[in-house]
Amino acid sequence: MPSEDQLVIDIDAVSKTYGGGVRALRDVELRVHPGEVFGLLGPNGAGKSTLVKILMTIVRPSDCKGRMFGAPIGDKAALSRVGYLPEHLRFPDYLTGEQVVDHFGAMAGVPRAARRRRSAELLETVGMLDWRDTRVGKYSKGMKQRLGVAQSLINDPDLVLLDEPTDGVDPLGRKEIRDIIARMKDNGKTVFVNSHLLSELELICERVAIMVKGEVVQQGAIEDLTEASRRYEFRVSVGENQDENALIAQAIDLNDGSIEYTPGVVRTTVSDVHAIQPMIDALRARGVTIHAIRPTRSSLEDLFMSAVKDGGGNPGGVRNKRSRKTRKGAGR
Amino acid sequence: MIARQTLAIFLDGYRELNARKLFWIAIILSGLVVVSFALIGSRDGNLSIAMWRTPLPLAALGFTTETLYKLLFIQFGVGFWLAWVSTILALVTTSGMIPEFVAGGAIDLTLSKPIGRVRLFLTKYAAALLFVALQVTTFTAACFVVLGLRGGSWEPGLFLAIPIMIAFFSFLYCVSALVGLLTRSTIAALILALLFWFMLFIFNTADAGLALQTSLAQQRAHRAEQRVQAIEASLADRQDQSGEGIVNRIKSSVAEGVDNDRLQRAIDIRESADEDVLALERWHNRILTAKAVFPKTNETIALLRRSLISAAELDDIYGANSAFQQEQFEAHVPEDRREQLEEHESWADPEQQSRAARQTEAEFRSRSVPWVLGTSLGFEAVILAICCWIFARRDF
Repeated sequence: MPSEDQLVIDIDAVSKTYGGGVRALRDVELRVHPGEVFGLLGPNGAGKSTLVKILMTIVRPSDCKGRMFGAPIGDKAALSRVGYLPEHLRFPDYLTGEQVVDHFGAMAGVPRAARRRRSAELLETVGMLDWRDTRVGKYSKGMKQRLGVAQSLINDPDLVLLDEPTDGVDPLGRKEIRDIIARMKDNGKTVFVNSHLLSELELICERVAIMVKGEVVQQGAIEDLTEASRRYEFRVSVGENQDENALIAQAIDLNDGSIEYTPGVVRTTVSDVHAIQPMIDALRARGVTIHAIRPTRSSLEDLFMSAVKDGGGNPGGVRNKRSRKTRKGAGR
Repeated sequence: MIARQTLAIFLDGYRELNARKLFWIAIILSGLVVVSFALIGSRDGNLSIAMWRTPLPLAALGFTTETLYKLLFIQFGVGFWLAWVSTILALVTTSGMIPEFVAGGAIDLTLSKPIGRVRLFLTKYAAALLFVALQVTTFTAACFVVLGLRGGSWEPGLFLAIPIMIAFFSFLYCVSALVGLLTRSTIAALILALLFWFMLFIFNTADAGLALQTSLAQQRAHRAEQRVQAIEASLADRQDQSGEGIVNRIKSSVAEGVDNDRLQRAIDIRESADEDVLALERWHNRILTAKAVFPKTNETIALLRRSLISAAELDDIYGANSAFQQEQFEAHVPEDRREQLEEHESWADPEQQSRAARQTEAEFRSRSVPWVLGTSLGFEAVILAICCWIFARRDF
């Protein structure tokens, strides 16, 4: 695990209250490690975009204790190491694709020669090279999104923040964007993806944070977050003249809260493989035929739905509200 | 990095203008104005348009070809074309730049770059002034060539029009930028900038009108005073010369009665003119006080005239013009009618008008450049400070 100094984003508490008393963020705590693909999940209105906009200095926080690349959040110099793809992206219609990439590259401080070289490469990467001389006004939404991804990389950033990157992109385009993100990771970049498309995130993210009503209710590696939901599933059967229900009841204690039985399937919330061995023995001793034993765990969607439903209550998930000391001990 | 970002914003500003048809329409119209400017000249001492010689005698009006071109450039090229038509086109074109700049989805990317908000806003604001800068530079360069080739004078002072017109436009555009930033509406930004301009126009018209009327009233009061003194002297002479005898006394008494009537009328006119002067001065001071905090658009434009045409040159033109007008006046108005007009003091002859115009011009020229530009730029600085404060604090 990287030290605090090495964290790309290290937020202790960020709050935002808009005019009229609307609290968009409440003491958000978040850590993004270098070189990882980090996903920020949450239903619409959870405050994800507000958090990203605070990181990008587009929205001013009401209260902010945090750092990005070691500099306080809001430090403009740190932004030269960041690439950003905003949600609801809108480019000036009078610019061509190449001019867009060049303009935002110049705004990021990239020298002209580097801009020229990289813009052609990036446009090719996102499949927009043939459209580079066409005005953006003629682009479809998906094309604009691809162009947005290209411009976010023009300064060869160490951190790329993508706010709903697959929004408006067709399935093929989504696959391409996922591939681009994978390449970014391979190149050592840190990618922060904000999305409500869970299946997309599950495919590309290593760590996620779930936001609900302006609070990060869970965060950690997907593996860790779903670890608590790990269980074993037995597919079983008995002989033709035997009572499956009775045999199973004799073999295992169905009143044990960790056991769930439906005809043909026994599930246990025990996650330790050693702990299920006695159960296997007991079933076998009663003549129950075991067809398969399958380890299962919750999907990101299950985790998300659970978090949203109870505002963060996850069966064993890593809760975000912990002391700094405790959190330091949590591995990736 | 600062230079790279500034250049990028200016280049973007140029591309934005380039994409707008109105920018090119304005350039083409400027070209037509320059062509028509080049068609005017002097032929055998008279004003000529293309190959046609008009009956207007330039020399009699106090113009050399050079001063004619300079005045045409100042009065028509700058005073009308750039300060009115081109400014309206510029406001229409640029009013949308700030609202579009701060529109949702468009501003996010720019704000996420390593550039401070205040610098970003001020650079964008400066880029919006490109419209006027490009228009004025093109127009002035073309006029410079025309003046050199047709007027025989290569006058680099013409290029003073560039900073003057940019400053003039910026006094109006800062209001458009503020409204655009507050409302994010192009229409609101345009309409309120035009209304602000109209308000300045009213102030300027009132200022110039009151200065002229005050000057005329002062002349009227002065002439009435002279007449009072003349009639009083005439009455004193008559009393001294009144001889013996009933006939002489009756004659003297009748003449005295007539003179007394004239004296009373002259005194009334003088008192009325004095009252007018006081009232006009009072109102003029009020207008000047109100104007003090606002941009001096008229005076700013007039700086070009002050720079290109000296007071002596202008005096010659006014003098020659006045003499020409006086000739026309005397040729067309009978002498008895002229006396009658003079008696009633209700009408100013060309000589009076010319003197009043010169006095007004002198008053405007006496307004110092630091006052004209200082107060105007001060107003703009305050508006821009408000804009920067709003822009720096706003959540997008």
